[in-house]
Amino acid sequence: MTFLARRAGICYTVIVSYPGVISLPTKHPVRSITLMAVLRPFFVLALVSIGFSLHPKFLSLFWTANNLPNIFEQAATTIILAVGMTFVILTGGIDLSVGSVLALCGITLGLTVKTGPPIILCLIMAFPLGVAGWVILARMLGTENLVKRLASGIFAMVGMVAGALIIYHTTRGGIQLEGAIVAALVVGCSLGLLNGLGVTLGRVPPFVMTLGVMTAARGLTVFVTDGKSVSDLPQRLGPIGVGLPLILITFTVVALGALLLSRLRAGRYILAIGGNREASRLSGVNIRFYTILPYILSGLAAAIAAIVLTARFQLADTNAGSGAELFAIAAVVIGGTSLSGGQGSIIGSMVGALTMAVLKAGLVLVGVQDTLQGVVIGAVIVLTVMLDNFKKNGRA
Amino acid sequence: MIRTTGWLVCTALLLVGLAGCGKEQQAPETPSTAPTGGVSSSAQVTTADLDKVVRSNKPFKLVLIVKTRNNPFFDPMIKAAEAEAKALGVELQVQAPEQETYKEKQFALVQQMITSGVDAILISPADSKGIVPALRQAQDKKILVINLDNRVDADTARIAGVKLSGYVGADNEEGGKLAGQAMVSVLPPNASVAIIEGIRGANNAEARKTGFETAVKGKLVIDARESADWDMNEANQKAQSILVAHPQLKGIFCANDMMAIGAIKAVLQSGKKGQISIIGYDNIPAVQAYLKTGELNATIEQHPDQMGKYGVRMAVGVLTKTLKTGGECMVQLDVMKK
Repeated sequence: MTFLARRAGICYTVIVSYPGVISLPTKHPVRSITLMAVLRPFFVLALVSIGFSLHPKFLSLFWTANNLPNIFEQAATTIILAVGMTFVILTGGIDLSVGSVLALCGITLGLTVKTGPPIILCLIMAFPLGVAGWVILARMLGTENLVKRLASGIFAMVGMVAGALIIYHTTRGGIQLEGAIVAALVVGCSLGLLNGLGVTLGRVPPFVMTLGVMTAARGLTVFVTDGKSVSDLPQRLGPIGVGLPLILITFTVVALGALLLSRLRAGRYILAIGGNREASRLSGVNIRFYTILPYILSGLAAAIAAIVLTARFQLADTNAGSGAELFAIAAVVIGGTSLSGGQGSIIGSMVGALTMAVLKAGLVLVGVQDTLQGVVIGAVIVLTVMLDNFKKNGRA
Repeated sequence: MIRTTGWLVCTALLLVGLAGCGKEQQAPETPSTAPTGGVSSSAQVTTADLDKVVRSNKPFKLVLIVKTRNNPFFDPMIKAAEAEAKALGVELQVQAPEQETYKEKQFALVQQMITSGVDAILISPADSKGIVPALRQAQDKKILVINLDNRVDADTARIAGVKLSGYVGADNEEGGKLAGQAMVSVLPPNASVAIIEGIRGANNAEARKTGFETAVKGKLVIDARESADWDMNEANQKAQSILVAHPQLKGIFCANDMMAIGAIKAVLQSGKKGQISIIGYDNIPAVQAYLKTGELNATIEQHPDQMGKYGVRMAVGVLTKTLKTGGECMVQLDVMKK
């Protein structure tokens, strides 16, 4: 609990007023993950790879300089989504909306480049602005009575709509690719923020909140495009979706995620909240903020995934990312992150995603009928978690 | 504070929710056309027969009920039907549930139309079986029912005593055959090919695959069959693996164009550009560029606009008694090449 030392003043208060509570954190040590748990996903990946290598066709075709980058590329979207998902799951939440948010961000990118985003997307982009404005106004005006609360709310709404209109009018006819990429990232963060606010302030269970956003975002994607994919995007978008740039982007996301989780205060707080929410609150951690943050990170990850996926095909598909949330969750789970929160690792999630990519490619290479491929992947997911529990029980 | 936030969140949700009336979209392919239809005495009617139908001097009231307006497949169908109704001097209104999955809504729409007193219902059913009782009600009120695109289930219709007045649609198996023939024509004999299929068990996916297999039998060797669930990214991954597993591969047939784009990119990424022939299905706008560059060898056009047009002509023909009921019309399929 090193981070608590930095807040010694608050800790002292807690000790004085709640002598029984402060012992909780020591009983549930906030530790990102045990060594065994760190190694486990690698073990599973090795097991899958070695198992497949017993098949001569796999052995000769898989371990080649051409094919290995393929596998990484195929896993890239899932890895990126899984990094964001890990943070959410660490707080004990879940984000089912990433697949739909991915589609909406891709469409945002496409429409912003080609025609400019429709007004509803501008509103979504301005949403964080409205929330920020509302927080600041509430601080300035105070929240003692209904009038003041209403006033700050209304001003913030007006600001948000004004922001949306400005975005709308400055983007008519489409804008530069860089601007469109920013727009996509903002939409991702914005929907993440919406998820986070729903979960914290709205007290909607994460499963329900993100399910709602999942449905809404998918609907919105079809609504703004009439179900037609946006094609013929700029040629220079293409390179970031394939080969070395894609691999670099993916590694950067993983590295930043791992850094945030293990080296920065925010990461420790997220872990602490997942480990023991009440103790974290009593220790002075801003529960609300650090519960919202993971959802924003997950939304951001979905946007990054959308950008590389859209770049890969130079086409934004309304149907993109359907089912992607389940693969991301599976990657996180194989990676050793506990679904009840508080324990996990980013690297593990990456290895989890790679494991699934090896499985998918391997099953095609050795010629397993594709209707059976899902069965095998499902079995591996479940067996991995069983292995985990078995080891945990063995230790205890 | 919490209350204000609550309102803010609610409003924001509402804003997002308002627009969230779209629908998770399949690729714009003809949704499931079963090989057997609800038309028992399947008298073939050609488009030429339907072209002979003349302008009606009575302003019959027609309604076209499609699965949803959100699927780009229905867009040309609706537009063509509206134009044709105008040309033939009949009234046509278009009704559709907001989403393709709102099957009960479509059922309710049929009932509403029966109550409002139309002369003919043209329907592309979202639920081939579930819609039958509503069609029975229409039949009892002596309203013509013309089936477009997706077939009404033949067995359910027979049991319920529903006799449809006609069918206009595309033959997916025939389309698959055309794709197969196109593949045979561009590849040397006994070349190795792969099929990337749509969702397993979906009627149109199976029909396209069967048609392709029939056409290439004995002429090409099918080395891989993978389903990519109509999805571009999934098809891309499957195609990458197939290309690794079968270095001798010369062609890939994809059961829709989105998957074909995925396969085209996989070929590009594997450095085999120009060595693999790819054939798609549906002729969507997004593949036009690839047809031009030759990265996509061919794709199949199913002419949903013609389904709308000839659906209206068939309805008017039966209403004016120039056509017998129970006719089946298959619209023309085209192989689109560079």
